[in-house]
Amino acid sequence: MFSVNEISINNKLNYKKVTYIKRFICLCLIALVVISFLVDISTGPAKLSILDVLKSLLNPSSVDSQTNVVVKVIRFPTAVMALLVGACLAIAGMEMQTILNNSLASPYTLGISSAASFGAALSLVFGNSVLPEIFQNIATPIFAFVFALGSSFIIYMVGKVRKDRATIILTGIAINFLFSAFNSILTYFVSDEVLRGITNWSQGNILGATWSKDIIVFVVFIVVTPFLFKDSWKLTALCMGESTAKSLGVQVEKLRTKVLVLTSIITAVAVCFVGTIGFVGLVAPYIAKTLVGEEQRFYIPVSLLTGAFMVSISSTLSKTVIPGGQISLGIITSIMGIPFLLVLILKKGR
Amino acid sequence: MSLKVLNLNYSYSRKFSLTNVNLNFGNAITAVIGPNGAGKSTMIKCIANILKCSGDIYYMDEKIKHNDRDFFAKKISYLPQSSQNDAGITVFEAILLGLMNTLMLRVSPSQIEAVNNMLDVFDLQPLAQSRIYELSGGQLQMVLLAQAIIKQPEILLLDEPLNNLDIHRQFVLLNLISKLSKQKEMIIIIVMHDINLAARYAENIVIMDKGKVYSKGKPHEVITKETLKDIYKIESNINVNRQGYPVIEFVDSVANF
Repeated sequence: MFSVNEISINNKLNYKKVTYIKRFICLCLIALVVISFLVDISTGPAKLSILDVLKSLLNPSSVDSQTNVVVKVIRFPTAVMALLVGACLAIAGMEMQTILNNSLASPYTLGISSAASFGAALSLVFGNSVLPEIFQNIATPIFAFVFALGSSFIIYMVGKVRKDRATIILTGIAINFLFSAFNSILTYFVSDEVLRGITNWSQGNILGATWSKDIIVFVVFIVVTPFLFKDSWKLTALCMGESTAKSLGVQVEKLRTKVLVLTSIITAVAVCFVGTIGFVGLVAPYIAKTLVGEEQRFYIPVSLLTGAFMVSISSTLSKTVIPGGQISLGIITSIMGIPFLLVLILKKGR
Repeated sequence: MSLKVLNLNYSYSRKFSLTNVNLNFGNAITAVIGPNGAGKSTMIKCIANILKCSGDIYYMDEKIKHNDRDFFAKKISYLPQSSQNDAGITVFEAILLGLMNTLMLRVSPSQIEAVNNMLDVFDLQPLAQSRIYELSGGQLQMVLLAQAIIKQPEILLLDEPLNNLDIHRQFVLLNLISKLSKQKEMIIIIVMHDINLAARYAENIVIMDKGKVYSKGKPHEVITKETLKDIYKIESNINVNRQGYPVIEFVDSVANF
């Protein structure tokens, strides 16, 4: 893999040149994300070329109305959702890894995704009949957030008492089992229709994406990310250990609490509309770290772009693996993620 | 320049670990020595405001409030005993972090110059773009020291900076620190275990035992046979060498283990 680090050992690169390389990596990733986004839109039962997609997006009158409907109404919202969810999960994963000082941390491995998904299911089961769609769209993420935050704090408290990385992950597994069990209990109380929804969703599915859901995820993403950028140097200092960060004047506890709340928000909002999509929060930061290191001004954007790219690709694959059919997105990301998980487990250190 | 601590008290749960510490530090190197658990690290953590202790700290005869974050951020640098050695940032970025107080999203040319300056001083230029996890223990310690002094603090607190260093690097680091203290007016307090190096490099020595200041003064005044026997339970011979500092030869342990 192309890495800034390898180059720097061989040549005497100065800081400016390295910064240019990191920017170039960001640009390459943006290009990849755009391409995968277009490919994602063009893939599906109705065959479209990328050119058709571009025409429909840029000059709708130049293609027939059927193509316009397929692109804009059906595929565009799901393709956008894939990008947003990938970016959200990647950021949540990388910042959890930063504040818990543990490269195995991610919304999925810590059980925060399943806690959020239980919260969302709870609101669906009991709120669906009562609330109109728009309120339901807002109530679901709030429920998901409350449960995500609750489980994040449990993990955080456990991490404070026992600092080894296995303990944190094992607690995450326990939380994961607990909320999966709760989710199963819920299925006994619901109609067949809602049940299908929940099952679909426990595997991670973006097909239900609509414009209003896209907008909610986008707004949360746009509001939360600048807060992380603002603290990027403090978060970078955390990778040198708590005592060094403190000695540099970082108020570590305050920063951790703040970031924990922010990551819970983005996990909740990503999970509540698409269900649990595993391993993105683990793999994207790992790739980003290899590419640009842990300096957060680049670690954040490269992680989120990698996450967006990964989920976008998975979305395309989920539509092509079975001819004419579609499998859940979460299945693809899991299969892609397992090798990375093994590498991380076998790796020494954090 | 003067730093004065008055009535410093700090307790970890149950037992007292720092009791009534009163000390004056001048514009020189002060070495703090003493057995494990004597309260050396606790004391400098209190001065660095990492631990919130009771008691007063005066700098240039002005009382410093515990919540005066600006003072601590600008004037004091503290190098902790241990740091994580698997960070995925470069040496350049690690040193840059020392300017935390003034760092914005865009790194300014003067900040880049300051880091380059440190890289030259510490002879780290070839490693500038290596990542922290690739460094040896000695190289990491140099980087951390560069990180601590890049903001040009007036008070430099070093907690056992010689740990994990071979004897050559111990000398290199101490020579650098002693050069710094002569070039720039700086109050330097070093917690260390090697009494011979302390006697050689420090102008003043503070001996701590059981959370209290046992004695303080010039090396030849405080490092005596009796003190070492009392504090460390060891027999020793002490000679004064040609440069005028005491050289300690350890004979045997007094206590039976």
